[in-house]
Amino acid sequence: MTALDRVRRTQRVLGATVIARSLMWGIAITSAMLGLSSFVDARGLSATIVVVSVLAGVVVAAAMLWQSRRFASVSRVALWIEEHVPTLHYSLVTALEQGQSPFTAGMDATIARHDISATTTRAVRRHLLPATAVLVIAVLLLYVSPSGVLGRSGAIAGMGRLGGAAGIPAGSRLDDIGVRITAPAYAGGRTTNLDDPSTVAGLTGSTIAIRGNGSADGLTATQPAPLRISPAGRGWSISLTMPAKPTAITLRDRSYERIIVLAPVADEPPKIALTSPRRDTTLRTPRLVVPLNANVSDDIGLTSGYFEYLITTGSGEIFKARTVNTPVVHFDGARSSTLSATLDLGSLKLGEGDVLSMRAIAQDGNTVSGPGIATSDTRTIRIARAGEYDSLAIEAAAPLPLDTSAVSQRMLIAMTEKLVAEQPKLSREELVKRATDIGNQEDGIRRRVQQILTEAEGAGEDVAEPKPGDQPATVEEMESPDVISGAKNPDLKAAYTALWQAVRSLKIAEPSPALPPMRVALAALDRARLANRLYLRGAPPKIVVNIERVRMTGKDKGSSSVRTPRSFADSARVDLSRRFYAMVDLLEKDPARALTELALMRVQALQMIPGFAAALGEVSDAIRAGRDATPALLRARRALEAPPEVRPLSQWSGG
Amino acid sequence: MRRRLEYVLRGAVLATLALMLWFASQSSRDAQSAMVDSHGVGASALNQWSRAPVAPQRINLQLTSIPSRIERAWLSALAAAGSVVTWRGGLTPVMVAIEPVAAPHGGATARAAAPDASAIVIGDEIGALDSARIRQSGATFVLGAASDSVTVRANGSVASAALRDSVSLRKVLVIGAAGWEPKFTAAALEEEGWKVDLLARVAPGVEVTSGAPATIDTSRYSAVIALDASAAPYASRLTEFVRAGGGLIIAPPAAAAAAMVTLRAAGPDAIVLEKRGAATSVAAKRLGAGRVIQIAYEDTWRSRMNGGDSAVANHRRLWTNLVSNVAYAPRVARATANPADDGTSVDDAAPLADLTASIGSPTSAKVSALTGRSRSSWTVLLFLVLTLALLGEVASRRFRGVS
Amino acid sequence: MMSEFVFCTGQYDSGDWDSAPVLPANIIDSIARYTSIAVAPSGVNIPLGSDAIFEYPFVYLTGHLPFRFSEAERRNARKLVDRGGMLFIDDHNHDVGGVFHNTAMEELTRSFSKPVDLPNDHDIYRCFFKFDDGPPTTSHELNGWGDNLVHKNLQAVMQGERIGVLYSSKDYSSEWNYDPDAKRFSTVDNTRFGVNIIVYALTR
Repeated sequence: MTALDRVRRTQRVLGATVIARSLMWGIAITSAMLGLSSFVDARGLSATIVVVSVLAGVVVAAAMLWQSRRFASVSRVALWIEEHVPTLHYSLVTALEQGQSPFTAGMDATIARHDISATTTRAVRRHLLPATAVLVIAVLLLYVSPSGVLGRSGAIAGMGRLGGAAGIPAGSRLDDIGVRITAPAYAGGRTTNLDDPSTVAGLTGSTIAIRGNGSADGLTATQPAPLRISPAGRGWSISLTMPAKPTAITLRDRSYERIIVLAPVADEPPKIALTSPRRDTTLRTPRLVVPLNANVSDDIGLTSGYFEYLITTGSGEIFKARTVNTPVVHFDGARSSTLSATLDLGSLKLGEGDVLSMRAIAQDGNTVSGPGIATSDTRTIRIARAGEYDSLAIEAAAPLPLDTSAVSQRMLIAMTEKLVAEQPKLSREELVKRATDIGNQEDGIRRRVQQILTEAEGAGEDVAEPKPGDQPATVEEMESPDVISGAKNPDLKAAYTALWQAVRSLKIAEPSPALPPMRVALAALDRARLANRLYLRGAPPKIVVNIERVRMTGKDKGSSSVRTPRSFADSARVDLSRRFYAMVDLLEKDPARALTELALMRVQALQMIPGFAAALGEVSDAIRAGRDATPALLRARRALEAPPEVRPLSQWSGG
Repeated sequence: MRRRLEYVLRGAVLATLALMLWFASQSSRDAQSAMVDSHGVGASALNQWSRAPVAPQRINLQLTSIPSRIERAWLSALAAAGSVVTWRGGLTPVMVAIEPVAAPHGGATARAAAPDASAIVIGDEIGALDSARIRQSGATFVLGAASDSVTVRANGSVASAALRDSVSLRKVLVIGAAGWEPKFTAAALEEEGWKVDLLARVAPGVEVTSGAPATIDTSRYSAVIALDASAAPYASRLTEFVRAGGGLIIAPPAAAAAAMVTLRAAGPDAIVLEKRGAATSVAAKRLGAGRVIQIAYEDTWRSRMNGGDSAVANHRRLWTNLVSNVAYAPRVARATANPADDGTSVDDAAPLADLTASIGSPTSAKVSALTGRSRSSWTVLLFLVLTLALLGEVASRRFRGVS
Repeated sequence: MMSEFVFCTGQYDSGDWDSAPVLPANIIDSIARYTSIAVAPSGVNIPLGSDAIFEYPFVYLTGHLPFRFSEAERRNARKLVDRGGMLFIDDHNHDVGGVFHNTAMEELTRSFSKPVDLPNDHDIYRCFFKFDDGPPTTSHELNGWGDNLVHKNLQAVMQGERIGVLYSSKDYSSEWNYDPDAKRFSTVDNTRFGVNIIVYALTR
């Protein structure tokens, strides 16, 4: 064998060694990274981790190969041999360089006397043994890790197991769970993810998916009815719907238990407010165009709305009703909008005595428990009967287009303001005529108020009810405010005084000075109307029973009876209080039981005392995170009970 | 020069050693004084005094806070063993007593006493409940359900008490003519958990009842509420009931009935519980073993109907407080609370009084001449001086080249 | 002296609340005849939307026209019932499914909860006078308008164990809306059930 042959043989061995060593190191790095990652994150190896680990192994292997690239060169291998076999005294290198020399045979013979193989073998051992050891350790680490890559649920399933049942890690499978909440489709179907929550809050009807690690075997979940647990990839999952009332899911894994509170959020019905017309009114004739307007809003989304007109016809004891609805307006899920319509009373063919009730109706898109429906306040328009013409309803009319058939104080003010504005252009005769007309109508209201005031004082029979054919009173005939008592109704008395002054000004064709007292009268009439709603369409007869005369004169006798007692109103709060203090005692002795009790109390408190339920959630979170729960406990207690009542010390110690 | 310095340092070493030897000899002598820092007596000092071969003849303590119950007991034991224990210090007296509220929902009343104008904080096992500034030497706190024990802190002094009893309640009897006041009074009490018998007269011989109104005695009723003259026929029975320990509440129309005159809370033995301006609105008196409260409020139902958001709760509380204040409610022992693990027992109702009882009133005896320093700190200081002097001499000799 | 019972008729905006103006006096007369309850000699009319209503824990409401609460009336009605008061609502029409009934049912369902049929052996039928067959039939039901419509039950919104709102379609408003002096012409006093309603309100 020539020197070159020896060197080439050594080169092959060293080359294989370097390659093997690089591969071993690369595989060891990859295996170690995979194993360590699965210990850190037991949810399993994500694709990212796998890719990074493999890349790391490749990089390390490549780096080692690059580091040992000198073995690709024969002369470098020869130098390596010379370095490790100094007794060659560079004969090998010389033999390679002087291949055609006559001294080559002699050099070959010299080289043959040296044991290059032994040196090579030692080098191989030196490189491969550590790499082999590291590789073995890394593979073992991967085998025992929760990753399941080797041995447990992976491909090499039969290569022995290191204790424990197949697929079940030693720890709890109830740690590190994830919850996904998907709102119902009508609410937009938004998804929320929670990591390891103790409480899951969401709209009633939301889909809840709970996921955890490990096999589903042996796990139970109750609500309290049993829930189905399905395998999901390398873990388990439960799917359910958010109920309408708070409840708790109890998860059990062997001796481990965990409770998750479900806190449903109810879909509120819409809110609707009728902004026009603002008030009820009475009309002489059913000729009016009424603008209708309502503001609507909802917490999730509105679907539709309309106005409803309820027309009641009749008198005495016989009434008939019919309903007319406006066309439905679609809101397409908007959270706020307005409803508008215009109502021409003429189109409803109303007659004397008819009553029209108007209201707005809206609904939301709740498909889980049925649409929430909201109705606004009702506005009423009455069509006066002929006999009621003289009974002016002293109410402020709604700001509608002017209708001369509905004469009210506000209307008279508007007419007077118009007269004042036009006064410079009017002739004296016309001014007097218009001012007197307004004055006569104002006087009608004055006389009505006078009648009410004197009736209240018990002198009603002296004042006749004003009638359409009555001659208007002259200024001299008007009763001075000084003789009218207003003890029982100071607001009406103030209105009378102001009306008296206004009529005096109007009757002498001075509309401008009449305006201030007319406005004062309107304000006073409003106050009187709100304080004690006056029904002016004929005061009901007042019968006073002579109690002493009739006492115990009845022939029939009653009999004694037994009453059912009322129940303890706050028993649930007292029970929660007792349980709260018992839970506080448990915190040091048995924290796991205390957490369970916290969850169960939260379920009970969610409907009754939401503030207490929220504070209990903070307590639970603090305990689970290992923080001091005292501030949260203090807040919970304050939410449950009022602060102590503090009193001075007393001689009296009762109770 | 350097040599002189070395001699001085050597002298200092010898002097320090001598002083330390002298201190050691002093500690075995009879007289010993101790100064206690602001954090209390301390287990280590007590331990040291107890383990000394010869008991200290005199222990003078300068206290800035009241020692704990165990520490007080220990001092008392040292005093009984022959040491004269004296103390001085401006300690704040504080005291607390807790007893159950006679009401179905439970709860407790804690009475705390402390010097006027002191700020006290009352708390339980969870934390602080409330605070108050003391007027007229004390305050009463009405606590919610299930506070097993309370502590009261004032200027560093801490008193604590545990709730040892609960109460056994009977029913309440409400007597009146059918009307809003009997209806709402019975409703308020039932809604608070009381068992109520109602006797409401509708017509002569016709009554509406709930429960089974029975003989009025303390085996059946804790209290009776007489709302109007309907109660007059029962006046003598009510008198016997109250004398036997029962409780009675009289409303103005009932008090006006002539038959009820002996039951009225009037006269020199009546205690005014509440005034509205110059008028007495609630007064009480003891009659035999029982109690009577007379109220001037008529138509309390109006406050329930007319009031704000808490009107119903206030109405219930009004009636339950009135009944609690007179109710016949015998005590029942409950399971005692375990002492706290930190060595302080839950029951320490009057710590300053207990200290005085254990080791006597405070004195003006001064502590030892080593004012402001304990013996152990002197020892440390001397050791430092010794070490520095020794090191200084050695260093000097080295620099001179002398070994 | 304890305050006396005052019969209160509630005024509401949407309809003819005063359609039975003599009824209060008739019931007051009956209370005085058969009981020793302290009662005011005349009734009051109080707006349901005003705070004055809380002085009167019993409120009578009737009418022929649509029955709808304003926001203030609804708020006050709920508060009155929650705190222990009672509403007695009677349909002054004699019909089935009429405008007052339909709107009142809707309003009560919206403001409280859906009224339920009151069993005919309920406490209210024996708390003073005994009515073994439940609510007494009115003459209008038997004779009225030729249709012999009889409403077998009253309806109620319950507050726990007690009646918070008592609803009647039997037209007691017509039955009792006459001067009490006219009782002397009758052999049977048809207002006795009204006494039961008041005794129930005052004691339950």
